[in-house]
Amino acid sequence: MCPGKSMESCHPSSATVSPIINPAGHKLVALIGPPNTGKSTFFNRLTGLRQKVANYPGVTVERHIGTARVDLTREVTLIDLPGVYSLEPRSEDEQVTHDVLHGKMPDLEKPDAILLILDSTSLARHLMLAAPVLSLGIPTLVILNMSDDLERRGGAVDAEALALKLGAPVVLASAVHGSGVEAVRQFLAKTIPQPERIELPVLNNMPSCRRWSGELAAGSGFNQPAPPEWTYRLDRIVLHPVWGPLSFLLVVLAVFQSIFTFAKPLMEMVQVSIQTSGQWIATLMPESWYRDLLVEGVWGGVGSVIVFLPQILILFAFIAALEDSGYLARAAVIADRTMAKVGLQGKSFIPLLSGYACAIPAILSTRTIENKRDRIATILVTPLMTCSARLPVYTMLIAAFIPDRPLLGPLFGTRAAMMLGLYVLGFVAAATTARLLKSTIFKSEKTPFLIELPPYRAPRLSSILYRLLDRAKVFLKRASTTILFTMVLLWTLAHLPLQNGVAPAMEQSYAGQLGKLIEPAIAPMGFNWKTGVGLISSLAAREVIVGTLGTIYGIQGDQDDLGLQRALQQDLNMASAVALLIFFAFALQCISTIAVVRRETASWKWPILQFLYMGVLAYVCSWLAYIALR
Amino acid sequence: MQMGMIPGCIVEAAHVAPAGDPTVYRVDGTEIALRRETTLNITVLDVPR
Repeated sequence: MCPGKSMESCHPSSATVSPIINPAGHKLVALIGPPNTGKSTFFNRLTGLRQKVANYPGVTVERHIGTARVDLTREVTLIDLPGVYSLEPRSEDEQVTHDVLHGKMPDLEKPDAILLILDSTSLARHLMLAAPVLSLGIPTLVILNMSDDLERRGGAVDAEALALKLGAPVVLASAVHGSGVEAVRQFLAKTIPQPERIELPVLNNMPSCRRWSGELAAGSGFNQPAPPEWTYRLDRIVLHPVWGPLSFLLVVLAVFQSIFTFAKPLMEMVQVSIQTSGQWIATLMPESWYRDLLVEGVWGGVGSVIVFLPQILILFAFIAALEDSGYLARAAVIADRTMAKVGLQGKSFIPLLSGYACAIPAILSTRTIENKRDRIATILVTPLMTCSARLPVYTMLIAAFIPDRPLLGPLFGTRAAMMLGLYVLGFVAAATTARLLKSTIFKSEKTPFLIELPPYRAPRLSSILYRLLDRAKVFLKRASTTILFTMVLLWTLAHLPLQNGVAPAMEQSYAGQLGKLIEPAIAPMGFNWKTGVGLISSLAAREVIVGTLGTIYGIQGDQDDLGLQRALQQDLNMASAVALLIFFAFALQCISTIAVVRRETASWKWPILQFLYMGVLAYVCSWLAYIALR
Repeated sequence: MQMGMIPGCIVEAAHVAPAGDPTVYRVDGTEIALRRETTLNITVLDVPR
């Protein structure tokens, strides 16, 4: 998933360019704290940005930079950092935090101040981080976040007493509700009372550290809150041997059915508005090649991809709700056994699961995996997970070739089942590949699996809406760059070379010739040259094929969606349609993914290997499927 | 250890994943999931409730 600023990572250009850091020479303020304590929520509050936040440890894996206003005249540069349990880094995301704190980042100076964010409900344990952070000697504000939660569960703490014992100002806060933000501004403006600095003990072993923090908390009136009863109750169902997997299945079925049912009227609305606006533009312009380019290439091509926006947003709404509630960490626990069987660790599950949204942020989130070999193995299999760019392709082909019949009562039909099958296929391919990798080139010692289960929280509507908004922006940005460019190029290739001043028949055009050129290679799967053109164009991005086929079959503004479906039915049959679906399930047709794998693994070796492996897998499986179904 | 599993702490097994592994333990006011192979390195003594 890539909302917030991390959405830029969905675009190849920003995958290589690092942003200008601290342009105005402001004071640097770093946000530090254990994972899942609300650092990014604070960051968003203070900067007005929308960094991704969710309810599981390890959401933030990179540093993020923003500007926060202190008062009318002053601003500071705020750095949001991945969560750490201690200042000794174990994984790559923790290394980032370590490097920033010690001024080892090449493009970033040592921070001038620190906001140490701790979860007030786990204060006795989280205070362990206070000693090493405060002894860095950088002015620090200790923020006890989620104080509303602490209060509700009958806990309490005396912030002033703690401040005296720590020798640093302490405030209670609830970032979600915005309380405590004013105190942070006061700290930054240096108007907050500063207790006398004291030397904190340097403790090297964990038990004495924990004893120190426990005594400190107890001495500051810390009252351990009651356990989160609701979480315990829910977990009794979610992790139950029977109800657990059953409820998981129900959630999945509901997601897939609603992708079809709820999305349909919305998609029709988008379709109609694109058609109407296309026709309107056509009437405004004289008959000319540029009118055709605009109406057929841009409106028809890009428009046919944009139609799928509602469907993608519905998928993201579900994913966001699952992430914010805290269910994701439980899903990782449920799936851990399977992951262990294929040789991956439970931590690989979260990247794989977010691969259902988009492979790029999923690949970034592998930074939480400490073991290097496990990390590369996870990166290599992640693009096999069914990302949302495949959704338009699947929907188009399923709608054209799979008759809609109820399966499990009227609520779950054949089309949703086929879609679910393709998603499962992607997961099976990823798991099998992981197994293969782990038993050959990535053999490694078993690494301990550890995940902290956060209490459940009700997903907040505003948080989900913001993420949908960000997702829509990413989608439209892709449509207006990669997809637009490919569609214009394709339209041009489809209308050249001019014969006696007019565009040739599609078959004789450059695009047609290109398709003809690869036709022998794809004929075994039952594809003809038109599908070939679609396949070539989809190397840029998977969903481009929808636009390409729209253009090739001459689908214009005046025809409805059924036009493309009927045209497809003439050129493909059931067997070749399934072959095409399988090809898209496996092939790595995404330039952005290749770029991000190259950056994260720091070599061309892995993305090339991955591209070839997935290509061969796609080709062979698609061919086998065609033979079997013919 | 940084999550609170330190020598001398009290651990309570809360849930076992549907597949039989991992197990969710309550330690120091939080819940941590651990695989069986990892817990083999930990010695546990029975504590009366």
